[in-house]
Parts: sequence; C-alpha cells; structure tokens
Amino acid sequence: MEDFNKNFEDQWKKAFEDAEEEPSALLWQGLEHKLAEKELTVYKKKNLYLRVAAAILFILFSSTSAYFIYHYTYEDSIAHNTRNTDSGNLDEEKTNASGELAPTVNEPSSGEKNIAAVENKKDQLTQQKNHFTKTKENATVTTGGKKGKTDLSPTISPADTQHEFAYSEDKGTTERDISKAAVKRSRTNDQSIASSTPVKKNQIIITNNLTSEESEALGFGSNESLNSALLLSTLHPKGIPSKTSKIRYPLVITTSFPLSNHFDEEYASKKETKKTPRWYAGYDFTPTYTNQNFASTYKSTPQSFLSHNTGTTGASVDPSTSSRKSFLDELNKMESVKELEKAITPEFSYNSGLRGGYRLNKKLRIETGVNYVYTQSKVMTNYFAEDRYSNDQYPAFNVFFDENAGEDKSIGSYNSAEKLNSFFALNAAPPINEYKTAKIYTQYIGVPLTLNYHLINKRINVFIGGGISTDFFLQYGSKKDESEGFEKEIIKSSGTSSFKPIAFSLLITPEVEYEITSKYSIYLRPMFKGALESYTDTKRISNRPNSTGVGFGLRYILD
Amino acid sequence: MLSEEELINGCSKNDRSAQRQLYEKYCRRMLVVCLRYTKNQLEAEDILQESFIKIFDNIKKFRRECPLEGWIKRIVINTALKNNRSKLYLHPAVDIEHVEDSFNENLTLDNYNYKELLELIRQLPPRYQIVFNLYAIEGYQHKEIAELLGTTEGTSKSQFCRARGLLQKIVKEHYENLERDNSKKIVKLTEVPFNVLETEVAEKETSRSKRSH
Repeated sequence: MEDFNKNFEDQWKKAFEDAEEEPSALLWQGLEHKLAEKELTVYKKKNLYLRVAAAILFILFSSTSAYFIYHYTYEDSIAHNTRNTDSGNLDEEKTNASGELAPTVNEPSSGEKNIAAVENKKDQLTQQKNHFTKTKENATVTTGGKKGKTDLSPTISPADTQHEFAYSEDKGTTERDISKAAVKRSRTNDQSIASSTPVKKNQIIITNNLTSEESEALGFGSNESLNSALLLSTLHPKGIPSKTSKIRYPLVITTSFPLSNHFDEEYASKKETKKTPRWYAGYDFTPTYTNQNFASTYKSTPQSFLSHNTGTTGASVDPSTSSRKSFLDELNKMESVKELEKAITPEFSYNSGLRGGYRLNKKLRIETGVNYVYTQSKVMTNYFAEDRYSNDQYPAFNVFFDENAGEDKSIGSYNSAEKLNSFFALNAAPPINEYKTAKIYTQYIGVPLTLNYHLINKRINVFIGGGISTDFFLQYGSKKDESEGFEKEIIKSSGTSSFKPIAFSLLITPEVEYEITSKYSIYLRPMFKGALESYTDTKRISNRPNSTGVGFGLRYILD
Repeated sequence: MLSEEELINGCSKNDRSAQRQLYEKYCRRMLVVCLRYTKNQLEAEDILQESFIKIFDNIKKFRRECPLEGWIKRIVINTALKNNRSKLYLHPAVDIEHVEDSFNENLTLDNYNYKELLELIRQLPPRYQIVFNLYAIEGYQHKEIAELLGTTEGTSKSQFCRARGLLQKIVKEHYENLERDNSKKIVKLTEVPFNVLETEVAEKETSRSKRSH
C-alpha cells in the first residue's frame, strides 16, 4: 500500500518535472514596466538623499568660506595697511571731522580760527586743569561733520585757549601743525606713572617713549609703529565726576568714519505647482549679526594724541614751527593704543523687506526685492591714553570722522586753538577702571538680486542661491550713553561723508520652504552677506561688513 | 546566451538584457509551478510576474549555496502561497468524510499529461491542493509545510492523505470512465482531433448496425 502511494506521488512529481508552459507575450512587457517604475523610485530616493547632502555641504562650505574670507581679508588688510604707511601723502589728507563713531568733542564754533599764544607752559597747564574742572557744566560739543546737530558734550569757551597747539597760520591750507600729544604707556608696575595714575592691569597708557623692547614685549613689534588708526575720542558728556585729582578726558577721534552696515538679503523662491506658476511675491524678516570689520589704511592718522603743552616737557615738536609732516613723523614712531576694531560688538540688527521673483524654468528663478536694513553696534573700551604733559587720561577708541566734511565742522581742523581745545571734554572724565561705551546705528535700503536653484522639489523645498546686493546708505546715528537719544545724521551722497552712497555685497542664501497650500508657503532662510568692497571712500579706513542671520518669511504665488 | 554567473551579475546591476535572459530561461517552468497553485492561467501569470520582480530585487542576496533554479522556484512558491493565503481563510480545510485510498494497482498516470493532471489537482479544495503540491511534487516535509501554512505537522499530514485519497479517487473514476468509453475508441483527447474521433465512432456504429442486420 505504501509502495503504491509512493509510486502514485512519484508519478505526480515526474509528470511535472520537465513541464513547461509558454506565458503570454504581455507578461514580460508588464514585468519590464514594473521594473522601470521600481528603478525610478529608487533613483528618486537616492537623488533626494544626494540633494539633501549637497545642500548641507553647500551651506557648510559657504559659511566656512565666509568665515575664512572675513578673517583673511580683515587681518590681511590690517597687516598690509600697517606695512604701507601713507604718511607722506599730506596733500590727500583731509582732517575734517564728522560723524564720529563715538561721541567726540568738537569745536563748538564754526569758521573761527583762534591762534593760541604759546606762553609759560606751566601756567597754561595749570589753567587748563582748572578750566577742565569747572567748565564741564557749560561745555557743549558737536560731533564733527554734522550740521547744527545736538551738542553732546561740553564745549570749551573761547577763553580757554591755554592749550598749546602747533598749527599753521595759513588760512585755507590743508596743512596743519599739530603738536604731538604726549601719552604714556605703562604697565601697572611702572611706579613712576602708576603711583600718580591708578591704572588697571589690563590698561595701558601709550607713550612714544617706549623702548623697542617694551614695544616688542607688548606684542607690537620692535621699531615699528603700530597701526595708528586707533584714535581717541571723547566719550563722556558732562556730568561725570572725577574721583581723583587727575582729570581724564577722552581724546578726540580723528579718522574717517565710514560706519555702515550692509544688510542685504535677497531671496525669494517659488515652487511650481500643477500649472508651474511664474511670478511670486513675499515678505520676510531677518534678525542678523553683523561684524563691521573696520581696518585702518592709514597708519599715521593725525591727531592720535594731542598735547596740551607741547613745550613743557621738552617735546620734540615745536608747536610754533613744527610742520604737520614732522608731527606725523613723530606719530609714526609712536605706538598706537590698542585697536578699537575688536571693541566693537554687534548688537541686535535686522532686515525686513518685500521680495519678488520670476521663475525662469523648472530649476531656476531670479529674485529681487527691497529691504530696510537696520544695524546696531556697541563700542567699548577699557583702554586709556594719557597726556604726558597733563597726565590726563582718555579712554581710547577708534573713531572715524568724515574727512570730507567742512572745515568748520571738523574735528581734525587744527587751525583753531579753540577747536583743538574742544577736543577735550571739559567735564570730569570717568573713572579709569570702567568700560566706556557708545552705541551707533545705521540704516540702509538694500536691493538684492539673486539667482536661485531649486534643489529639492517636494512639499518641503530646498533652494540654494546667490547674488549681489546693492545698498543705498540712508542714515546713521550715535549716542554716548543710555540717558541720551541717538544723534541722527543723514549722510548725503554729495561727498560729505566717508560712506559711499552705494555699495555692493555678495549674498549667499540657501532656503527651506514649506508649502502650506498651492498659493501660500513659509520659508526659513539663512543669509550670508559679505562686502565686495570697502564701504568707505576714504583711504584711511576701510569697512567691509559681514553679516549672517536666519530669516523667516511668507510667500504668495501670484499666478 | 550568458552563463548563470553572468546572468546573476547582470541582474544584480539591473541590466535589462540579463534580466530578460533570466526570465526567458525560467519563465516556462515557473509558470507551470504557478499553475499548480492557481485555478487559471491569468492568476498564474500574475503570480509569475510578481515572483520575478522579487527575484530581480533579491538576486543580489543570492549566495549560490543552492542551484539558482531551486532558489527561483522557492520564491515562486512563496509568492503563490502568499497569494493563496487569503483564499485559505475563505476556504478553510473542510472536514470531509474519510477518504480511503483507492488502491488500484493498475492506477497509473502514464496516460496523463501535465495539463490533465493540472485539471485534476484543481479539483481539490485549495488547502489540499497546496499541501499536495508542496509534499508530493515540491518535496517539502510536513514540518516545513506546517510552518509555511501556519498549521501543525499532523494537520499537514492528514490534509495530504485526504488530498491524495481524493486524487486517487478522481484518477480511478477517470480511468473507469475511460474504460467505459474504450469501445468508442476515445483515446487521449489531446492526441486525436475531435472530428476524426467522431468519424471513427460513426463508422463503428454503422458497421455494428450492418452486422446486426
């Protein structure tokens, strides 16, 4: 029985062993079609991963490049400018001051030229001190380059002409003789200075009498004048009491002030829907972080240090006969105060604006818009310079002024002793161990133009784009302390400002967009912006701001 | 024609020509396998198509530990079982009355071709059809069959016995019918055209009637 069953089963097996049946011809066609569909799905998935990876790599690459370009160009320009001192180009020098970064003391009067008589140095110094002590209440200042703006700090009355300055009597000449400000540089263990001048350990007082070893020890290199772009500005308005017998006054800021920030962003992208829309519009808001990237191009910026009494301590510069060139030569030998660039810290800034774009094809779109750009920065220092004659100490800043401003408004116009006197705040200086700050802001209208590539096309879209931003400078303002409002100024494009009226930046703008509906979408857009050129048109200071931020916006498809 | 190794490598790289050649090489035999698990040609071709998609997807994982045909056949069977799984729920094993093995020493399948045998298998209930295919024709053990179908080994054995008994009964009845019609010289329908057969029958009846007269 079992054999029978086994035999029965074997017969079945044998019957089907070599059996074959021809399938229909459509079977392979259907199979081929399904295989093609499957391969396409796999390809799309792989492609999506590759695209996402490419987008991430691009963002990392562009941010890293922006970082290195910023550091490279900034430090390189500093080194370059330090090597290439333009001390001989006196003719090009314009020392009219306007638009200081920090509050400055300026000549209160305009167009007046007083020739300070050089008499007994001691009496003058004493009188100067007394004057500084008692006139703080009445002092007013105006910042250079501004027309009839609000006075920010005390002025020096015309009678206060005890300061001894070397200047040219020639009217209308660009040459000025400025007596060299004697400042000391010392460490806290320098008893000769520290005993009379309480200085914090991290504070330095710059002097031109430092030996090469001292300068080298401080990291400035031997026999090499430091970048003298650092200028001193008056900081504080009236009302600051002096806690010591030493009256400290901030020095005047002298260099150009190209302060401008570029925020431009530009970007709008649009996703094609079923009928591939072409036009779109949007609005976005981008909080930003901007580095000003100031760099001095002129080492021997005049009026880095002023001396009240050039003859008292046997200064090498005779104010009555010294020329501007000799003063500048002296300046070249001096070591500069610690640079200000690093004392500027960005504060909250933002861009806000409208976007509009046109889709060229499935992958590319071109976009433009109008942006309002607002930037803020804080300037602070705890470094001070001291007048070696008067031992007055001044918080040190880099400040920039408008070298093209009218002479009567300039800080740097030293033809008038009165103007020079106004460099010094006549109120009591702040305590030396405090940080001193000033705030500034700028406003621009930016017009970006970018080309965007549609990397990932789904409900969540990824774009990468880049282009150029054209910035139209509007306005800047500054204030010395929280108690005051901003002193505003509109920089004209007629050449009265160190700011260029129009400047250009490079934009890199990746984007992630989410389609809410076929018409509306929201997006996040990191923004990297770097200046393609200096934003100033002065040789003294270059300004190449870089900014980053992440914006969010809303987009609407128009057709 | 590519060798088996070249076919495997080509299909791993999604080379369409290699895929076509592999298909052409095995599609006929595998279609018969599919026919054994289905009720009609259309359904069998669907299973075959689905099987080949899986074969091309997984051929990269083929470890060459067994013959390629055996590996392909296994995929086809699994696909067929997956397709039948729903039907098995609809057609649970029927507790039919005990079917005795129809012992007939003359019972032979030599006179059947595979198409006729297919028809016989399709007469079985779905579950029995599957069990019989797996055990008798594919050579699976009852333990494996139980795992595949989610039953026990004992159930598989009893189902197979019943399936076999049914088939034997069908074959036996078929043979009896054949013998009954033997006088009409009805031979294998697949070998003689039908119109010729009718002519022969008519001639026979004519001669018989003549003789009687």
